[in-house]
Amino acid sequence: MLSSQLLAFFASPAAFVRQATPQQWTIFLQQARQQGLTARFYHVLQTKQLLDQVPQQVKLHGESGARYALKQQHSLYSELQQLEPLFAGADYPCLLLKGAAYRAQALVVSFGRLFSDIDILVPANQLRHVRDRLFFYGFREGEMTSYDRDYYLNWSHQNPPLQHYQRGTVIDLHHHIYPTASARSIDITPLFTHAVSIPGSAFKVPATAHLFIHAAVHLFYQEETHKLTKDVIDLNDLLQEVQHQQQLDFMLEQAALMSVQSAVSNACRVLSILFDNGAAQAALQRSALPRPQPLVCNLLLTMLQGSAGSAWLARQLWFVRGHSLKMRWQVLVYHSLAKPASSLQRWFRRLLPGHKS
Amino acid sequence: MTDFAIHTAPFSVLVTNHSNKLTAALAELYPATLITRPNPQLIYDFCLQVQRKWSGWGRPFHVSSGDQHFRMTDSAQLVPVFEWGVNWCVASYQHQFLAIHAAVLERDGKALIMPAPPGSGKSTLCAVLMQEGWRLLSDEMCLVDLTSGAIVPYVRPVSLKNQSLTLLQSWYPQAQIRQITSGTTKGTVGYMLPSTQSWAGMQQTAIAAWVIFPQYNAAQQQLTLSKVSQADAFMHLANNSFNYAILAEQGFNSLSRLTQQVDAYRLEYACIEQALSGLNKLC
Repeated sequence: MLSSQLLAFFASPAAFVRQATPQQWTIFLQQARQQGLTARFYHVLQTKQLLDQVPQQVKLHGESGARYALKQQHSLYSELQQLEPLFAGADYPCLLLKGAAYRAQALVVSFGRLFSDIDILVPANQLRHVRDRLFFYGFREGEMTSYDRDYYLNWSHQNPPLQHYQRGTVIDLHHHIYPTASARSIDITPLFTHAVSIPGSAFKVPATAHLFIHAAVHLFYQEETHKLTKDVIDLNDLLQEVQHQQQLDFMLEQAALMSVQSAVSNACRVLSILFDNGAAQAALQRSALPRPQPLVCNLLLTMLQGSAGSAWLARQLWFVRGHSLKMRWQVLVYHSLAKPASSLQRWFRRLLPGHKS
Repeated sequence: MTDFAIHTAPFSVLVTNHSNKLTAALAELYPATLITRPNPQLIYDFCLQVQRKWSGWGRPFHVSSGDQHFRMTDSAQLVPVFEWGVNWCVASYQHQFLAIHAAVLERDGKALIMPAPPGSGKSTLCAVLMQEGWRLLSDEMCLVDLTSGAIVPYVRPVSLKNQSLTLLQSWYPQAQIRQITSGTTKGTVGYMLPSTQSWAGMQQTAIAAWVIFPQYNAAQQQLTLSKVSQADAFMHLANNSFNYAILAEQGFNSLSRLTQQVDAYRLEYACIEQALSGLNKLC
């Protein structure tokens, strides 16, 4: 039960606030900090007018988190302003993804949400050009082994992270939303065609339907689990936004077009169970959507709600499943052998006399 | 498992602990009333885990807060690493106060703030002033209330390093210095127990009156105590703050108010008696 208190809160804030014991609040504060959701819970308390009903300590920590999140938002705007001239003259689309895109449109999901980097998507044939221009803007790739670098360039969907030498800002420059080593081919042309302009900016953002699809693909077709609770809470807010903007049918149509229906269907199933999400239930009723995969949904739910042992086991299975999805089997076999071999090789080299690390 | 909680106002910490040695050591450093068994009826501000885990060849202790790892250590250095771990939690996650890396002491309700980087003699001077009857608010973190501007105490044992341990013990033989650990990343570290009045006043705020930027300089012949302009004091305090930038406008307003209400000086000294008499004349 990794984040049981958090999930309970976000599923039903008023009920949680009414019933929570001091012990549960202690765990809640800890879990919120771990998942970077302190400012987010504070925002929910504010909008639902529950601030007066929570203990003072919870309020103070929420306020602390909100201050930090606000500062991050200011930093994001300031960074985007720095990047504007770089993309101003571009004759190809430059899209903000994930957190930066949510914030640029002030979606509900972005309030109190923390950022670790800025995600940008450009067409694949422009990746090298944009990266080279970023170099001149003071961004550089961090140190990594040549194996890891090759991995990024050949098999992933992004350039190695680029960090500004002074400001420390990290840009994840994407040319796709899903690893190219995968057997699954996802067509991302619709992201560019339906992208929405931000008034006064060179950047665009994907349609809200595509933001949800991207988040669902990220969660269901990969192996990452360290921010699982935050990811499902994001999805929940995003799907509500999709419905609010009356893009639910458009989203389902796009999911079919991009062949990512299983991710969307599984996401809807999980959101319906965890948060009783009305939009998810409506989507599952549509004949356009295939049935969710019970095994996959159960694995995810076990990681979130299961006992320590079953959650651990589910994470291992999820890890294997994620890798087998994001890499063709030939690549996976090669990577499973070559990665440890490359680490071993470096370890032996360090033992050689005269080696300087 | 000897889980416990530390109630050092304004922050309480719940510790999941696997080391009996740590429990015994902290009992030497903190008053018995402040270390209790975990109470399910209380909300704790921070949670720390001190657990043995396999890592490479041995089973060192891991000090962490949830999945945020702080440091690994062997049993011999557990006490300093734990104390730094608590500081790390507070410095990273609390933004309800403006936090400045500084020692704070009080006399007659007025607070003396000494911000300084490591090596400036801040902790030594702080320990000396406490021995001379000043009330300790903190040797590490000056917490400024964002609404009232009051200085909020965060009383913990005073961390002393290397030569200052022997010096303090020779100047004040009755001073209680405990848990001396050598070979840490900061050298030899020991903890001086806060005075009884400091523990007793652990929830009693003070009004900022003086900011002193101390600098120990062995080559100094004569004590120099020079006035620092408000603008310079502001910038130095901001540079020494953990969360000035995060608090944005509130940080600026809070620090402006603080700088306007204090007298700020730079204190360069070689001899502790001179420093003491200088400060006594000033404050």
